[in-house]
Parts: sequence; structure tokens; C-alpha cells
Amino acid sequence: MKLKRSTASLLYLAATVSLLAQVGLAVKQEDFKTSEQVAFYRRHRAFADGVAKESQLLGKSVSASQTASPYSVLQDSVYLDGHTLVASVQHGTDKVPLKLKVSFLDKGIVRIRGQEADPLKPRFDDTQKLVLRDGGANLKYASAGSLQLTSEAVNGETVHIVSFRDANNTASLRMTERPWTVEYVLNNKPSILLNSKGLFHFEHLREKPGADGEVDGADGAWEETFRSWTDTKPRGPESFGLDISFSGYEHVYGIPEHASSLSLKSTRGGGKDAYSQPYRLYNLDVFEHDLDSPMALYGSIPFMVAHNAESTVGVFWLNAAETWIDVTREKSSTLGNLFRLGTASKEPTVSTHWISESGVMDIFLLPGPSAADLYRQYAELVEQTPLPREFALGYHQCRWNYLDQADVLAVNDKLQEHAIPYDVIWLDIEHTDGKRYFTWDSGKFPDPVAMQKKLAYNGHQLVTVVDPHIKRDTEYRIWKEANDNGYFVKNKEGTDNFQGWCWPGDSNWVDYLNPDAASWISSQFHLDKYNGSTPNLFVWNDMNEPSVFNGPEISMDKDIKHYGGWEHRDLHNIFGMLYHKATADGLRTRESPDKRPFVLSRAYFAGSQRYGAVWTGDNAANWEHLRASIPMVLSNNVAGMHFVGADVGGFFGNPTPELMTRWYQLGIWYPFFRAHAHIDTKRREPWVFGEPYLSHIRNAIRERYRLLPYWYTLFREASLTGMPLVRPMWMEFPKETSMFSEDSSFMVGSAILVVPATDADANQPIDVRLPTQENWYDIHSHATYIAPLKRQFASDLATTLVFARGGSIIPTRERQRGSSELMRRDPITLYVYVSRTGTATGSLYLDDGETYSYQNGAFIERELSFENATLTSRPSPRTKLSPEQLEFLKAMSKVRVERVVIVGMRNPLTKAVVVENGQTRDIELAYAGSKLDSECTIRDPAVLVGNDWEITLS
Amino acid sequence: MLARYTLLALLFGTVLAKSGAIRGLDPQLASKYKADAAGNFTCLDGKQKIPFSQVNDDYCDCADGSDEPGTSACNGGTFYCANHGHIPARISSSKVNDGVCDLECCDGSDEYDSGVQCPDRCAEVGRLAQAEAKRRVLVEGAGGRRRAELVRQARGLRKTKRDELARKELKLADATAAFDKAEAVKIELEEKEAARVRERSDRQTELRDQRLPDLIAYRRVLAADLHRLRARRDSLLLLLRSVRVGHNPEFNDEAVAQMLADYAAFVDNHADLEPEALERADEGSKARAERELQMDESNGADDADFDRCRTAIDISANERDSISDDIAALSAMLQALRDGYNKNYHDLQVKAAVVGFADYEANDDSKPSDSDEIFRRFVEATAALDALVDSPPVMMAPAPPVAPPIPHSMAKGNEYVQSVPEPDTNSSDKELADARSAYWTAQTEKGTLTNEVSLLKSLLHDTDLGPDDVYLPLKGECVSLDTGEYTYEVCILDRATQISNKDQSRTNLGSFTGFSSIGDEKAVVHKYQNGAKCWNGPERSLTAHFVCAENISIASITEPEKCEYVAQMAGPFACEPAEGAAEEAAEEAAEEAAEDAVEEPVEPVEEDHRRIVHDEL
Repeated sequence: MKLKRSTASLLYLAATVSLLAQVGLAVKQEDFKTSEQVAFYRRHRAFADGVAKESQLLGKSVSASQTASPYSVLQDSVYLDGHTLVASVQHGTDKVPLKLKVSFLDKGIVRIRGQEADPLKPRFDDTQKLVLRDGGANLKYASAGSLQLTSEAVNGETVHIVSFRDANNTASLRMTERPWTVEYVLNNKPSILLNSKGLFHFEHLREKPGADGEVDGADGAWEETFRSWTDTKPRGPESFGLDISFSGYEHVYGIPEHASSLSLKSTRGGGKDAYSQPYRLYNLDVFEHDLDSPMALYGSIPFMVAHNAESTVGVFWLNAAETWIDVTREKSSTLGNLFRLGTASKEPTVSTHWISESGVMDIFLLPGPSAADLYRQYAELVEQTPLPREFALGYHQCRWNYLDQADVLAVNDKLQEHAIPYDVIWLDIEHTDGKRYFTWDSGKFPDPVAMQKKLAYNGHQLVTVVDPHIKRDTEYRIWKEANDNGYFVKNKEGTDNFQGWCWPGDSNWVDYLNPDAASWISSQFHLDKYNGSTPNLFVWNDMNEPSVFNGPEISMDKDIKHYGGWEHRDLHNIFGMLYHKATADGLRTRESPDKRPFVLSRAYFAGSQRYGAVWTGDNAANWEHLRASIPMVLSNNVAGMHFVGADVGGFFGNPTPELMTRWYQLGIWYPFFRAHAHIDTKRREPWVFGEPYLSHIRNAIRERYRLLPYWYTLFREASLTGMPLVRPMWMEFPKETSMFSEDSSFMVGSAILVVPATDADANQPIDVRLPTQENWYDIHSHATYIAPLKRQFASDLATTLVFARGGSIIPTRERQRGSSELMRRDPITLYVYVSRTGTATGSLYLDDGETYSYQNGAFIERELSFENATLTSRPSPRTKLSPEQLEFLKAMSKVRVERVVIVGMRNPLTKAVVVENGQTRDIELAYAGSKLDSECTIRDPAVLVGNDWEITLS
Repeated sequence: MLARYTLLALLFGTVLAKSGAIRGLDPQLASKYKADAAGNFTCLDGKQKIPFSQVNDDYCDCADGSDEPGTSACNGGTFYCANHGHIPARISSSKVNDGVCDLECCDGSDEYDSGVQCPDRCAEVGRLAQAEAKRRVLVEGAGGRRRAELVRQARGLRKTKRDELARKELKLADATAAFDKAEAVKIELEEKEAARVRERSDRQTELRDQRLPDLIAYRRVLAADLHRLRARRDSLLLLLRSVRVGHNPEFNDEAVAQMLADYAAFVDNHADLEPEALERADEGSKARAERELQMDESNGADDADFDRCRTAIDISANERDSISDDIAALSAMLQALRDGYNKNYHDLQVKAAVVGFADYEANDDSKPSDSDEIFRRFVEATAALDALVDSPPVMMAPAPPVAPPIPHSMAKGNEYVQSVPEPDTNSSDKELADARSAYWTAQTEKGTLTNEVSLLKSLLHDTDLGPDDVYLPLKGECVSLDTGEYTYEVCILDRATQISNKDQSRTNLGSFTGFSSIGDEKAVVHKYQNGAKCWNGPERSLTAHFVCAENISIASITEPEKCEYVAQMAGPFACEPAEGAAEEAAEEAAEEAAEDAVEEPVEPVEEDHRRIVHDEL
């Protein structure tokens, strides 16, 4: 969903009326803050401008350690304590010492934490517990013995150097004393530079000046207002900012969620395409959001990736408070000079300036150097995406709203009648009794259990929306229990429940920071508590930014109180994730043994990938939004939020049949594939548009289902390695510099290149670039293209441009069924796309798709390779003999490979010899039905997916 | 090699069902599933030959999927379920061994290798299906008969209407002639009258100029009176209001309570007065006098025009009377308060009001001494003029008689709506009055008939009444459905309405615009469109889908998209004509055609011919 404020209240009625007066869709800019309207940003901006000015006065160019940063290391405060380098840093005039701890982790990860050496009161530091793997308790540190600290004088100033060793390279970290800077040196190049521009600024905690005492001159330090809202800021200023520069890099990516380009744009210093506002991370419900904008949206992941032809590095800024990030680009000639490490060649540099409102400074530097390394490192910190329920990869049919039980079943029937596979049908807020979640409108849904049983009969699931706002109604059990137990978020004074408006009107919000409250809400999802739910019901968390209709920026006041007395500002960006987690926990534990949950959330943070899928929020039915969905989905994948999609069709407005068709053709390549629509729009289920659109849409959805084994295997890979499912071109082709900002085409895994058609005019030829010295194959016609290649392709409405990369093996299931569940026992077809050197590799992963027994070995995981005209299936190294595995193999004992299609062999083949379990048999090859000499089909080798086998062609 | 034989044996096992027939094969196609001399099977599209052993071997060889009738290997193939005890079914091969016991395949034969045991439910399903079929036959039989009946009725009805039209057209011709005649008479008399009026009018003008000063003088007196009276009413209102606002409710004084009740009732009926009084109190007397003068002028006063001056006087006099009534009522309340309030309670506000009322009574400024004389001269002036003309001037004529009701669809361009009726002058010339009356009567008669003729023509010639006029007898018949919050009413070929069950308020969901051609051409779908506009949405509309039944009814109404309603309905017009009904109808039609032919030899072109004639009217 949605922002569907129209029915919420008079106030919003008025707001929407004024919206209607405008032409087209447009965000209400005035509802949301610009950086100038945020006091802590203004203060850091003023500080930064002051530093820049002073540097100029000093006649110094803005570069490492030549800036006017007032922060320096206290003399003799630096020492190595095991895996941690400790230093005290102090501002030249305010003299409040800060303790900085630089920890060296496994795989070359460096963590830098900092706050007052002796804080006046604690800063919020639970973010690490709620985000990091095992709450950060079991991080793997470098062994103390592998670290070596040396200190030397350079140009009369002391530099401390810690040398350490990661898997591949010797790396070092250099810290200067005056001013304080840190440089991560990779491959003998300073790559990630902290405070090299002197923008580090730490607002230490302080006592509020008395009423008649001195006035704290800082702008908006103790109170600030936005429109009619006043933020009382009882703790005063506590923000901090730091510049992080990526030397030698031109492109940075990530920090979703923004409706922006894949390669992040500059936000200062002008230039082509530059923004005039910084990127903002602050989870917000933005009604009819703009495109090509750094405005904050529904989710926030403070993980940024920099890439050049040599390496991929990352920075994870672990903070849950409001955060702004400025991006500037420059060529610097002085980098490297300081340490005389290289020539004075002009290095392109992306400098970023991060500013957070509260909490502890906690930064992770990830050295890569390959994308695969980087994602292993990131996953080490925040965990991988777990294997989802298999059905969740299918097609999701959603609308605000399917009216009633009959409507749901009619849509179910229609999809079946038109032979369109789907897995899940969704119910938005109108299914409830007056927006009281966990209830049903009994007039419309007299028997939800019977309805779910009907859906389940053909392998279909139901999702209901369960939002985090709880209607204030003393007769409503959920409200009453939460209220009686004191589980609600409190007002500014901490005396009473915080109250705000959302769909049900007056509402309260459960405080998920309170572990008791979180586990209480989890238990509400259990089958005995959630009336009308069955094991086929899954959940959608919407509005969990949280969206508060009458709050500042449509969210909670920052100064209201959470469990432990923490202010909302401290945890705003993880609030939605905590609810997502509580919901997933509830679904996971409602049956015994546990089953994998499925929960979709709109708000998210780093770590949300552990709890389920997210979507990009309320988009619109136009071509611009269709195009914008590509970088949005990619940016999320770059930042480790893999299971993501955009509303197919566009939420607001009515798509044309052409747009709808194209959106399905793109949507099947989103990891999360859901069609959704606003309540005011026309019906748009696949059959509504008639022919030829129905056939095009059906073909697209069937393609998704054909490729489910490939998708599921990709998820398996992600669950092990942290690698994105859909990947920007640079990630698969790291040396193709010209594709570093490519965001209109992308890779699905490493084998499939998708070039979506996103133009209203289907006759518009599409530019396609096939990179590297490799063969590519049209996945539908199997036509071969020799890369590198740049040319235009026609793409009428029936055609989609999808290419398989030479050297890959793609597993499919070709039999058309009604849902993913009904495909589980179907045979596999393998497509072998031969590389220029005549080889190919791939893998195939299967498990029961719903339980955790795969953790005990109940899976089939095959490594497939094609070499010397022989296709071989071997078990993965993770395959282990166990009772669970045997049981699963037995269940899969009829699942065979029914077909192998070899594409790209230059010499005609006539025969295949199959060896399975030591037994040999011959098989004829079929060229029949294929248009190309380069394609042949091994007819029914009948090898079992669980067996070791090889097939040799001759 | 052993393994391969085993495999083949295994595969062979799936080729044949238990009975020995080819599994999933439609018996009608059985002859095509024989191995040829070479042991091959030819795909049904004729494009491929494959070894017969590859039929139903769970691998799709034929592009048309015909080699795998019994497995799910070919997308787009068909699996035949014998369904003994029920009717055979042909299901998509995608449903074979998918683990679901499909209801269509009630014998469970499609799930022979999915690990799911599907019981043979054909006996039960067959029973239910037969019962349902029986029910449908009954419903459709009854519906078909009703439909035939409707067609019969329609034929009669069309004839009746046609006859009626013919009759009405004759009458219309007469009425038109009568109208033309009456009009001529009227015009002649009016011309005469106009001459007389012109003469009289000259004399009037003269007299008006002479007597105008008398009217102006009186108007001034009245304006002063009004000013004074309003001030007095304001005083009373403010006194009463002060009690309402400032009295002490603790004292519970009966007289005060009575006054408050009376005053509340007064204020209810005169909601504007109190705010106006407060406003005037703020305004100061000079500003107030100026404003009232403006008001006086806005009553249409104009010192140069006798008639407008006189009208202003009428209005002011009315207002004076009304204010005097108010003053009397308000004074009575204060008198009652003065006489009845409990002096022991020491309610300062009440006491202040009593004192204020005493002041009010003491300061009763009497009328200006010369007002009686001025009034006398005013009366004389108007009487003199009225004596000259025993009817008001032409421009003050009463409203003309209401034109006959005309359906809105015909309103445009209709001469009867646009013609501006002339005043009935209550002239001394009774002859003219009678002529005008006759003219109006004739015009009404002609208008009524024209409308009736138009409606009939529209119904008979321009309205799609369905095949055989089946809708004619039911047009406008309404059915409704109560869905809890709302009751929906659909009137056939007329309109659809949503009625709130809370307050009976009606929302127009649209008027009938035609039969929809979406989807199956045989489907009976009615569209009702251009209803009340939705906030932030389209105009409401309703699409009604009909199935066959004897009587019209609504099974359900939903709103799948905002403000676009869909009704599932039933009605006899959705039925196939009952057996024999068609022939019967044809016979009857032929008979009638024969009859008509006797009456009117030009029958085949009759309708068109008539239309031309009507259009010329």
C-alpha cells in the first residue's frame, strides 16, 4: 500500500483536495524538511563552511591533513589494546575529550567507535544490539598478534600506522594526530579517508544553560520548530558528523531508500545532474513521492559502496537516528603526497559527509576488494538474507482492496481460468473490523478460515495487512492488553501513551524497543490468538516508518519517549524493523517445528533482510516510475536488502495496457514480484485488459515460474554469501568502466541480463550493451551474440530482451502449474549456455521450501559444470549425509532432469552417454523443434536431481 | 543396459491406464493413437512422427502436445477424465499430477502419480450436477415461458401503443388547429387592447408626475419609522440577551426560566436578529443611519419612479408591521419578567434588565406629528392612480400559468418551453380575458399531446427494447436488494439507485444507457451510467449482468472499483425462448402482419413513413 489519507480525517481530506487542485502527482514538499530546516544539519553545515573558509585563509587546498580541522589527538593517548587502537581526540577550544576506538576485525573490516570519554549521560547505543549479527556479541576480531603499531613523524607530525593482514593483502590503517585523520590504505593506496576534509565535528553532551544563565549560542540546540510542531530536545545537541572520502573512486552506490539513480549524484558543488539537497536517511511515508530526488523515503540503510576498476569497498555507518549525507566529487592532486606513496597523479575522489542527530559514532570500513568479498564482509556484520518461503518468490496479486470473501475467491478463480499461475492473494486494510488489526470485517469475511482453505486447496496463500498503529478503543482486546501492560510508546513527558492519527483515527503505537512488548505482539500472530488465521496466512506490515498522519513529517515527534527513556529520535530508523522482526518471530513460531515466515514491510533498515521482503512504497502508474523502479531495486540490493520489488502497475493512477504489460515484463525480474493498486484505481488484474495484453502478461508471469529454480538457487547463494540477487552491471563486470553508472539494464544473478522496455512507444529501439569477450544468447530465441557488442534491438510488446551469459547453466521447471507449490515435484530442465571456451557452470538448490530442516541437511544442492562436452552434477561441499537429508532425497526421488538444452555448441552432436550411479545408458539427441544448429536437446536423460551423474555428448 | 530396460518398463507403465486404454486419451481420438507399420505415432498436427513408445512417456515430443495425453509433460495439452457416473471432462494437462484433486476430474484419474489419493467422487458430483441441471431446467423452462409471455405481451403492447399513437396524432392535429385559431383571436384582441393601454398609460404618466412628491414624503416617514423601530427592537433584544447570558442559573427563578424559554423560541425563529442587533450596537448611530438608508434604497426606492417608490413603500410597510410584532412579543416577555421575577434572588442581571425595560417604556418617542397628513396624501395619490387603471400596471402582472410538464429530454428546442406567455390583464375587456384563457387552454392541450406523441414515438421507434420487444412490458419495473448499509434499486431500462438504510437518502447510480457488448455476445448486460459524481472519482455507474430466471431479482451488488457498481441479476429476458415459443411467436407475428396488411396496405414502410410525417410536425 499506500498512503491513503483521503479517508483518514478531515484534515487530510483538505490536504488531498488541495493536492487534487494541482496538475498530476506531486509530493507535498512543505510536509517534509529540507536540510536547511534541520538545526543539526545547519550547525554542521556552518561548521563545515567555516573549516573550508579557514583552510582557504591558511592558503591550503582542501585535502588530507591540511585542513583547518580543530580536532587533534591528545598527546600520548594512543595505544593498541589487543585488537583495538585507542586514542583520545579533542576539539581545540571546547576541550571535551572524546574516546575513539578503532577495532580490527576479521577479513580486514575496521570498526571505529567514538563518543565522549566521560559522557554526561549515556548515548543511545542499542542500535548495534538490534542490528548486528548476534547483537554484535560474536564479531570476529583480528588476532592481536597479526597487528603491528608503529608511530613515526611525518613533516613534524606524528602518524600512527597499524599494519594488518586480510585474506589477500597487507593493509594498513594510518592515523594522524594533528589534525586527527584516519586513512585505510589498500594496495598501498589510501582508499578510504576519514576527516581528510576536516569536517569531523562531535557535539558533546552538555547541561542546559539556566534560564538566566548564559545562552547557548548554537542554532536550534535546545528547541526547534517545524511548521506547527516543536521538538523540545531536552537532551540538547548531541549530533556528530564526519567526512569520508573514497580516493580513486568516481562512483558510490547504496544508502537506500531514494528515488534516485544507481550511481549516487553529487549534492554539493553543482555540476551536471547534481542535487541541491543532501541524501537523507529518515524513514518517512511520503505521499506521491518525487522521482530523481535525494528525499528520504520509507527505508534507510546507511551502507555505501564505492567501486572502481580495481576494487569495491564499503562504509557502514551504524546509526538509527536521522542522517544526512552530502556527496561531492573532485580531482585531488595532493592525495598520496603526504605519505609519499605514489605519484601526484590526479585521482578522482568522491567525498561524502555524514551527519547523524544522536547516538554513538559507529562506523565500519569494508575493504572488499571484490564485490563478493565486500558482501561476505557486510553479511558478517548484519547477516545474510535467509532462505524465504518458496511461495514468496511466486506472483503476488494485491489490491487495495479485494472487497470480500467472494471477491477474493473470484480473483482466485479468474487467475486459474486464465491459466495464470500465482501464489498469494493479498488483503489491505479494508478487511478489518474498523481498522482493528487481527480482526475481520465479519460482514465481508464471514468465514476467513474457509476462504483460506479454498485458496490452499490449489496451493495459494493469503496475506493480510497488520499495521503498527493500534486503534484507541477500550473494547479492542489488542489495545486493552497493550495498554494494561504499558506496552505503548509514551508521550514527551513519558506520562501517558503517545497518541496520533492513522487509519483507525486515534491510535497508539506498541513500543517494540520494549522486549516484553515485542514478544507480546509476536504472540498475537499465533494461530490461537489471531482469529481467522491459518498456517496459510502471512502478514504485511505497512505504515511502520511509523506513519502518523498528524505528526511532524507524517511521523512521530522526535522527543516522545520509548522504553528505557530513550527518545524517538534515537531509534526512528529502526522502529519499522523492530516491528518487522516481531511479526516475523510470531509467524515463525506459530507452528511446531518452526516454519519460515513471510512478512512484507514498508519501513526498513540494515538488518531488515533477516525478517522478510520490502517494497519500494507508493509509486505511480507512469513510465517514469517504471524506469525509476530499476535503480531503486538495484540500490536496495547493493545495500544488502535483497528481497525487494516495486508495485507492478504503479500504485497511484491507472496504467495503460501497454504500461501494465511492460511492468509485468520488468516485474518478473524483481526479487519480490507483486502487483498492487490504489483503491481509487480501476481494476487491473492480468485479464482485465484483454488480448493481446493478457497473453503478454501471462507469458511474463509464466517466465517467472519457469525460472523459479534459478531464483530459489540465487536466494540460496545470497543466504550463504550475502551476494545480491539482482546486480548492477558493474558488480558482474567490475572492469567495464563505461557501465559503472548503468541502471536501465541489470543482471539477475550472474547468468541473466535483463534489458527492460520502459518506453511508451513499443517501436522505440532499445540500446543494448553486451559486455566482455563472451557469447550472449537471447533467452527466448537462443540467437547468439558475440560480445562486446553495442546495438539496438527492436522490442514490440510481445518481446522482451533477456540474455543468458555464455558459460552459465540455468535450471528451470517448464511445466505450467497453478502455483509454486504445485511445481515442487516437477522435473527440471537445464539450459547450458556454452561459453566461448566451450564451458559452463551453474548450480541448483532444492529444499522443502517451508521448514528449517535444510539447516540439518534436508536439501539438494548440485554443482553443475559443462566441460569437454560433458555435463556433470556433483554435490556441493555443504551437502552432508543426515537422516533429514535422506528423508528429503526420498521425497524428491521422482524428481528428474527431463531435458538438457545445450546452446552454443559449434559442432553438431548426435549422441549422449549418461552415467548415473555408475550405470551407463545412451540417449538420442533431438534437434527437432529448435531453429538453430547451435542448439540441441538431450531428450529425457531421466537422471535424478539428487544423484551424481554425468552426460557426455559426442 | 539393464537400467535402461527397467526405465522403459517404468515408462511403459505410465502409458496405459489400468483398463489398457491410453491414459488420459479422449475416446473420440482413440483411432489416431495406433502405432503405424513402422511402430510410429504421428502427432495430431501431422508435423512430426515419433516412436509409439514415446506416447505418454512423460516427455513432450510433439509441438502440439498430442503425444502426452496422460501426463503433464506438454504445456497446453488435454487430459481426458472418464468420470463414470458423471459427465466426462477434458482438463488442462497442467493439472495432471499436480497434487490437487480437481473437481472437474471427479474420478481422480488425473492424480495417478502425485502421491495424492483422490477418491472417485463422480457418483456424488454427478448426483449434485443432475439435481442442479434439473433445477436449471425448471428455472430456464419457467423463465423461457415467462419470456415468451413477455414477447406476447410486448406484441400486444406495441400494438396498443401504436394505436394510441395514431389516436393521439389525430387529436394533436385537432389541437393544433384549435390552438392556431385561439392564437389568432387572442392576437387580434391584444392589438386592440394595446392601443387602449397606450392611451391610458399616457394619462397615468401625467398623474404619476403630479403625485410623486406625496409618495416620497411618505417613504421618508416610513424610513424614519423603521429606523426608530429597529432601534427599539434592538434595545429589547439586548436586554433579553443580557439576561440569557448573565443570569444566575443557580437561582432557578421561574419567571426567568419562562422568559428564557420564550426568548429561545423567538430566537429560533428569528436567528439573524440578535447578531444584527449586536452588530448595530457596535456600529454607532450615525453609521447605522447611513447604512439603513442604503438598505432602504436597496429595497428599490427611486425618487424618480412612482412605481418603484410605491413598491419600496409596500416593502417598508411590511417590515414596519413585522418589527412592530417583534416589539410586541419581546415587550411581553420583559413585562412578564418584570411582573414575575423573584426580587429576593438579587440577580443583578435580571434587575438591570427590568430597569432597562422601564427606561425603554419611558422613552417611547411618539410618531412625528405630520405623519398622518402625509399618509393621507399618499393614500390619495395611489387611489387616484388606481382609479384610473382598475388593474396594476402591465409590468406588475402576476406570473403566467405554468406550462405543461415536458420531459427534460425533449425540453431543448421545444417552442412551448420557450414561448413567453403574455400577461392575463384582468382587463375590463372580458373578451380579451376569455381569449387569453382559451389560448392557454389550447396551448396546454397541444403541448400535452405533443409530449405524449413524442414519448410514444421515442418508445416505439428509438428505444432498443431487445429482441421481440421483450423489454417492453418490463421497462421501468424496479427490484431492490438490501445489503445492510444500503438498499440498491434497479429499474429495468430506466435507472439505478443506492438508498441509505440510515437516512433513506438516495444516490443516483446512473440511468440506462444501453446493452453492453463486453465479452460473450449472448450475455445479457445492462449499463446504467452518468450517476452522481464521486468525490475524487468518476460519475457513478452500474453494470448489471443477468442470468435467466422467471422473475427479475438482484443476487448481489458489489463495488469492485470506486463508484463503479456491478450487479448480478436475474430476469426472464436472459432466458432462451421456451421450446416452441419461437415458432409460436413467428406464427403470431405473421398473423398480425397479415391483419395489419389488411388494415394498412403500406405496412412494410409504415413506420418510416410515419416518422417522416411526425418530423414534419
